Formats: sequence, structure tokens, C-alpha cells
Amino acid sequence: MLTLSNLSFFDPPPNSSPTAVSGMSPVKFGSIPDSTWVVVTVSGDVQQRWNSECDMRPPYWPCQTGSVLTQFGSEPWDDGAVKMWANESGATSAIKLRGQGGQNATSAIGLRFFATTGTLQGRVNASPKWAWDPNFGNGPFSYYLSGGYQVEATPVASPVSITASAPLDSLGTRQYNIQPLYGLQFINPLGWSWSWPAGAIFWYFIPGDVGPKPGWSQYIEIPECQFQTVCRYTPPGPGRMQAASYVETQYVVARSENVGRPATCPLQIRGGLAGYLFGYEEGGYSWTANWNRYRVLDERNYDHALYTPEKYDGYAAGKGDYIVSRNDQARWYNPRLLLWCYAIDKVNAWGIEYVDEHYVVVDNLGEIVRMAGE
Amino acid sequence: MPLPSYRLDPPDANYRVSPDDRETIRTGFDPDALERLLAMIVPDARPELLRAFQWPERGVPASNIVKFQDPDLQAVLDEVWLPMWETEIPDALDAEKKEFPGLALARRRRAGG
Repeated sequence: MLTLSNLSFFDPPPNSSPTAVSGMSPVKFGSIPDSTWVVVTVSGDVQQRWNSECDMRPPYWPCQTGSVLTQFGSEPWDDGAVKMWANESGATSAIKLRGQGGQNATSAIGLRFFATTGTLQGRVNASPKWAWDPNFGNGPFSYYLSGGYQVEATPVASPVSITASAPLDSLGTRQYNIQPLYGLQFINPLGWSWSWPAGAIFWYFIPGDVGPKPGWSQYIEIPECQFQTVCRYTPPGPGRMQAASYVETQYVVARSENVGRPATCPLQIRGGLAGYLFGYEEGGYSWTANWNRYRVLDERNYDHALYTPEKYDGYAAGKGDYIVSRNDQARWYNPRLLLWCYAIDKVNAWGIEYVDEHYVVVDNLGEIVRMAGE
Repeated sequence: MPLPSYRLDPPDANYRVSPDDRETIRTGFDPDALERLLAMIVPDARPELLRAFQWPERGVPASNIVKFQDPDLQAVLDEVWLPMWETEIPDALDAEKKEFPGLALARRRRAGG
């Protein structure tokens, strides 16, 4: 997992003369590994102080005035107050930066994917301001410059995250959400002749025990979720949701965590082991937390099983065994829980690999009867 | 072998699970062992793992961390799960076939090992 950031400070030229501006050397960052997204953030400002020599200029050949910097735009572009370039496979290309919060000269963000190992460099993007006349050529510069920009290049695993909810129903329907991270935004490539919504998001389900790295070997397209940031889908089994989108005009493909591979349902369930789910709230009443595995419904994976209470509170002729709710107001005859047990193999943001198991009630069987006189 | 970047060496001796967080740890998990486990990893990684041992919100299935690939973390995870088998589900010491964390350790302890 890449967590190291490259942090540099970009000084402006000392003044706005053509010589000082053209003499600026780019600041170089360290090497970026292949298959890496890099988020570039820029913050700072450049102050201009008027050069008093300009006060003595003849009126027809004054010192030029105005800002030496062009602002970052509200859309990504490569000619704002700071210029950044990526060098990859011998080719150099500009990285587009977008003003955070809109057009400004103090804060910007950009995104770049390095398919192969590469480097980054950049500098303050100043324009010369000075005096010139046809008799004597270059005169004094207009401004002394100070300040500068802090520029951070952070390798990230993905510029977006795709989260999956817990199962929402007995079919295992889940809600998937995609969102850009680190202050990035869904922005389509500029100049598209068609008007897809921001991000132009397409959703796919990748079935099986597949890893987190996006790929296209086998997928199920989900057209009903197209262009949405939220997608409700019932996975046919274990697998990951994959979404293709545009972030800061860059094409991004990312995957969710695996929604689960079958896990063996335990022989016994307790409240601590399972959390709040286990029959506690069925029928509007709270019930015992202790259940024993009664029958495995899926003999191949052992991931669906029926559970019965650890002990019954009584038996009623014609109705069967029952348990009593915790407030003594209801009976649950022939209580059964149907559990779905699944495991998710996780690698969290810090690189810790672990197996996370869930035991989810997908159905409650039996009959709940409110006791007479209550 | 160098330690992975998420591990602290030595563990953070000053780290404590707050009293409020201790209250929310599910029954069957050892809070002291969990504290030792979390002290072994970088601070930013702790909240996610701590949450996995706390009571979830209503309607949300509980997380059950059953295996770490890191053997040192796994050894402490066994200790975190120990009360589950020694006090919460003692029947499982004989009956459970699934390789839950701490189960083998509980069996060894019962056998006097």
C-alpha cells in the first residue's frame, strides 16, 4: 500500500523580469511506481510588491501591471498558477489542475495515473511583467515576488471508493455507493460532444472469488444503474462491484470489496458473536440471543443454515415448542432462524489483511403470538 | 523480515481503549487483549479494527474478524476471542468444528497446556 507523500515547495522567481521568469528551474519529485494513481494538491499564494524604479518610467513606456499568475479554473486545465508535468516512458505531459472551490490562485487539485514508472515535476507558472521601450530595450521589472506554493503528490490506491451495504433483504440485495476521494470530483473529459452526467458512471458486477484490481475478464453489466452514484443490485453470489467513471477528466475503474464468499455457519450463535441481529427484534419483541445450528441447508458450502433456540420455555399442545419474549408478552412457536454466513477478505487502507465474517438472519420462521390478557 | 508498515515495534505502551469504547465491546471478547492488539498497529488503523469488536448499530450484521494474515496479530486475536469459548459458549469447546480464533487456545488451556 502506498501511503508516502511527496511534499515540495515551489518558490516564485524573485521578480517578474523576463530573465527571472524564464530562468525558473522545475522542482522534481521522486519516482512514482507503475500502476499508481497520484493526487496532486497545491496550496499557497504569490505576493507582488511594486518596484519603485517603475515610478520613474516615462509615461509612454510604463512598467506592465497586473497579476503575474493566471488563476486555477473551475475546470481542470494546465495553465493555472502552478504547472505540473508527468514524465512517463520518455514522454512528458501536463497534469491538469482544478481550483478547489472554484476559480482562484491559492488552492488546486489534480489527478494522474502512472501506467509505468515515472516522475513528476512542476513550477510556479508566472508571466513576466516589466517595462520595455524601443530606445533602450528592457527596463525595470514591475514586481518583486514572494510567497510560493506547497505542492503535495500523494500516491493512492484509487481515486474513488465503492462501498457495499449489508444485505438489505433475504435475496442479498445490496446498495453500492461510489464517491471520489481526497476532494476530487466527477468531471468528464472536456469538450465531449455528448452530455453525459458528471462521472459518466457505468456499473458492472464481477462474479467469483476475484481480487481488488480492476479488470474486464468477466463481467455483468448493470444498465439500470448507469450514470448513478448509487446502485441497488442483488449479486448472484460472491463477487465485486466494478464501476467505470471519469474523475477530474481521468478514466477510473475501481472495485468494491468482495461481497462475500461462503463461510461455514457456526454450530452455536451468541449475542456477542453475532451482534444485534439474531432474532432479537422479530415480530416487535426481543428474544433470546442463544441459538444452535439445527440443519444445514447448503451441504456444499454450509453457508445457509437453520437455527433453533438453545432452550425452549415451554410446549403447547397443537402449537409446538415456544420461547417467551424478554418482556414476557409474547410467545414464538416453533422458532427458527435462517442464517446466511459469508466471509469478506479485506485489505484495509493500511495494508492489514484479515477475514471478516458475517452471520445474517435472512428469514425468521414460526409463529409469534401476543399472550392473552397483555 | 522487516515489519509491515502498519505494525509498531515496539507496540505503543501508552495506548488504551477509552472507557467509553470498552463499554461497547461485545460480550465474549477480551478488552485487555484487544487493547494489546490495537497497540501493535499504527493509530490511524485502530478505529476500523476496534469497531469490528463493538456492538453494531441495530440492523447491521456484526463484523467478526476471524483471521489475520499477520501471524503476530493472529496470536493476539486468539486471546481476544478466548472468553467467547471459555465463558460464553463453553459447549463449543467440544462441538464446534469451525476454526474460530481462540478455540484451539481454549482447548489447550482446558487440557492444561
